[in-house]
Amino acid sequence: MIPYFVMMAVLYGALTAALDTTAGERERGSLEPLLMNPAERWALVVGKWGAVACVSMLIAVLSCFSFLPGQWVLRSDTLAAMFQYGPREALLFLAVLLPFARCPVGGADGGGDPLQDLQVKRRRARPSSSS
Amino acid sequence: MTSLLPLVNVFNLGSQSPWHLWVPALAQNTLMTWVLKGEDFTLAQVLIPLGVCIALTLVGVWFVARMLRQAASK
Repeated sequence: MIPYFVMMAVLYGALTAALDTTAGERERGSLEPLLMNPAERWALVVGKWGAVACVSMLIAVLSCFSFLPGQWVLRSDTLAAMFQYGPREALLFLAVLLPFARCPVGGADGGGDPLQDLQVKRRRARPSSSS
Repeated sequence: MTSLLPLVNVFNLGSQSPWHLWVPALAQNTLMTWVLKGEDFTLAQVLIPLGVCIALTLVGVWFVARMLRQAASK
């Protein structure tokens, strides 16, 4: 179950950051000014994705290497003998986890569709330009 | 959904299939279990989940950029 818990740490650690870049910006009202910038949409998205990926990869590094000092507090010799985890294992864990950490499989889908809400807000904000 | 994928290994009672390497989260769980068991894996077995992750990343970034473009144009 150790790999499962490491992956959950990466997934849920990055989920808050991913939510904040989309739904959080909508709630703070900072998404609309951001979209007014003369920047390409893909550049904005890549920037947001890069920030979340950095947080996620940092969590992955911390998770993988924290098992090394964590073994010092194992009191049971049997447990210590069963848990063979050294720097080699930590690096292999990282090699597997880093691509996963920067992949948006977790999805920032906890806040509904922020862009759809944004469109609704804009339509409401326009004072009947068509009529 | 993603957090439940690694549990396939748990409910499968340890039996592993080649398709596990093609599923995100499940592939990472499988490879890390091999590491803890002291088993080696080949470069190809790492490249499969890496390719899947890169493909998903590109699709995700493209999809969100398209949504933003549509939101800005409406």
